[in-house]
Amino acid sequence: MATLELNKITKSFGQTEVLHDISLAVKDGEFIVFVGPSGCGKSTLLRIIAGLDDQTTGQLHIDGDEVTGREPIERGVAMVFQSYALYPHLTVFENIAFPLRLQKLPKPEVNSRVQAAAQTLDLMDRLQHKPSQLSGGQRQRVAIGRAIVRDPKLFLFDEPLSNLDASLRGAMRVELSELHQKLRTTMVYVTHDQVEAMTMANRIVVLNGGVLEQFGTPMELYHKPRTRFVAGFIGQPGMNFLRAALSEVTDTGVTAIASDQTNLTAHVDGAGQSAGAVVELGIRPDDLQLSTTGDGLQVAVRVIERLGASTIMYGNLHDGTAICAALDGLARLSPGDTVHLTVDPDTVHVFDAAGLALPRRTAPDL
Amino acid sequence: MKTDIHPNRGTGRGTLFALYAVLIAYALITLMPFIWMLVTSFKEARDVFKLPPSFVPTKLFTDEPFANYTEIWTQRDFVIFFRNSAFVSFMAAIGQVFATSLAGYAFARLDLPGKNWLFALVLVTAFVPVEVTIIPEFLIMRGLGWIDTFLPLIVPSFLVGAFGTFMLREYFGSLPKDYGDAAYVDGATPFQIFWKVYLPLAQPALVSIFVIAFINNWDELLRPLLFLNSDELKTVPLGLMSFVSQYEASWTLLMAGSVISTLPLIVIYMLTQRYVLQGFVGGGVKG
Repeated sequence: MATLELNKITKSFGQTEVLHDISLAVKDGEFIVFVGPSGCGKSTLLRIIAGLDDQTTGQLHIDGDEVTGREPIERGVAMVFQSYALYPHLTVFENIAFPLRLQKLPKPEVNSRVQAAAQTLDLMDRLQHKPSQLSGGQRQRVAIGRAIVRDPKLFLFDEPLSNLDASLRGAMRVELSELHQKLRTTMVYVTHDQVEAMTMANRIVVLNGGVLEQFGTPMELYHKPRTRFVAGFIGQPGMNFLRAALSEVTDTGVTAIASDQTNLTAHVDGAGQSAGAVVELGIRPDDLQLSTTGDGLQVAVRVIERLGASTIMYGNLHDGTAICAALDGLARLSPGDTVHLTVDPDTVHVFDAAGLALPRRTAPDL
Repeated sequence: MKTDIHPNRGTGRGTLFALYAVLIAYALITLMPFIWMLVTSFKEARDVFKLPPSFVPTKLFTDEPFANYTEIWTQRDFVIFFRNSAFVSFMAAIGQVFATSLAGYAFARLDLPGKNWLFALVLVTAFVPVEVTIIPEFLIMRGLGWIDTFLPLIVPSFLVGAFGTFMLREYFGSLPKDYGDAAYVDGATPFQIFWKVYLPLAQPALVSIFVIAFINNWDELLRPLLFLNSDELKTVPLGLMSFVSQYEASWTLLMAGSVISTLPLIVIYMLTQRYVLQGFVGGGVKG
């Protein structure tokens, strides 16, 4: 178990800086997820932590020790790769034993540690198989076995579930969370899938274009996104954004005229804002309700997705703005209908012209 | 563009027949020298230059059908030539595998300044004919006191091999980088990564290089001719040369010797064919 501290980490390839001033502190035993779109620098950051790449500037501390420039083995990290990187010529046993053999541990100890890891990962009956004889999930577990057998201070996972099909990915998410609860070791996990991030992380690091957008718990990111990017990236289906102009700023919040001329109120701190300011309103699909009175946003229904417990509706405002709403599973809607949707002012997010969120006055107690 | 995954589908019988006819004709043309060699090795000496040429192995219908083979195996030093060739070819092939695996890996995987220039330089050596370098090579070997030993035929193979280096560079380059990274994170040194991870995965390419080097050295004539003087050190090609002198040639014995000298190569190729094909196809490792 270990803490991890990144202090003003930057990384450049030639003249191009791909990571900009990343600083964060991970607590002992936390499960941290780096999430962001492709090319945002999350895997590069993980490789820097692993010692596979060097940062251009900044310091890295693991368990309080400065590890900048040290070999991966001296950092006490173990890593699971996206491709699993299982050696095809070795059996499952030999794959898991590989790091122990490098340490020249005595045979009985190697055997007992491999057996223990295999027991934990339910691989006992696969120890003599070659990786090509295993399913995707089993290969994944072997890769994890090779990491846990070393008893590292810090686990690093680089998109380990991205090669699995959807159902197996769900099962492996649960297994990884259980493994973390069992081992209580600090884990850093990279993914581009915000569902993985939300479901597994204690805290999430959202990266965008090499910049740390926000670092917080899944609920903080969902309910109190600091930027428009985070608000749009976290949450499934994604947040709706409406261009708007502020018409009134009061002590309790702001009122804005959306692009379709609907008046919407948001309970946010409008300090520094004035009437006429151009903003974007952010509304989660879950926060939209069907209006029975004909108030609110008028939406032409385009597509309906029935998921059983909920109905996802895709439509457009009359100015063309796309709207998605997660409604009751039994909502009676059809493509071509026109409906009205209302939203509680407590749940409306407002982003200024720079994409920064105005602080919410009534966010849930997290 | 849509690719047909069943290329034979829709091919007419006529096209298929024509295709087979061309392939069979090509195979016959390719095999003709070997067939002629085999038939001549079973001929009486007087029948070799008979006109019109005959494919009848006349000796097969006599009391001693294998007389040519018996003679070269018992009355000539062919066993010694065989042993010498096997030793030299095996050692040189091992040398090629050793040198080219190290060089190929370094060029493919290690971060070395100017390695692409260096690699180009190694490749250029493949285009220099052996006849161009043979005199300086002879002078070096003479300076080292290695004339009339096997060392000039073996040691250079441990030092360079442009084709093998090229082939292994491509092969190592096609193996996933993650294997090396994973081993590095687990504490492996660069040599351990090479030795324990990548080298076993390059087995097909290594076998291919071994086979090619073995065949090349088995067939080598010029360098053994220059470097070896003693009869007890002669290799098979030198032994075969002894059947042709200034005034006469024992063609039937030469052909019988040639058949025998070809057999080990055929056996080796048949045993390693699977690896050789994999080696040339590339490093598609299923993990």
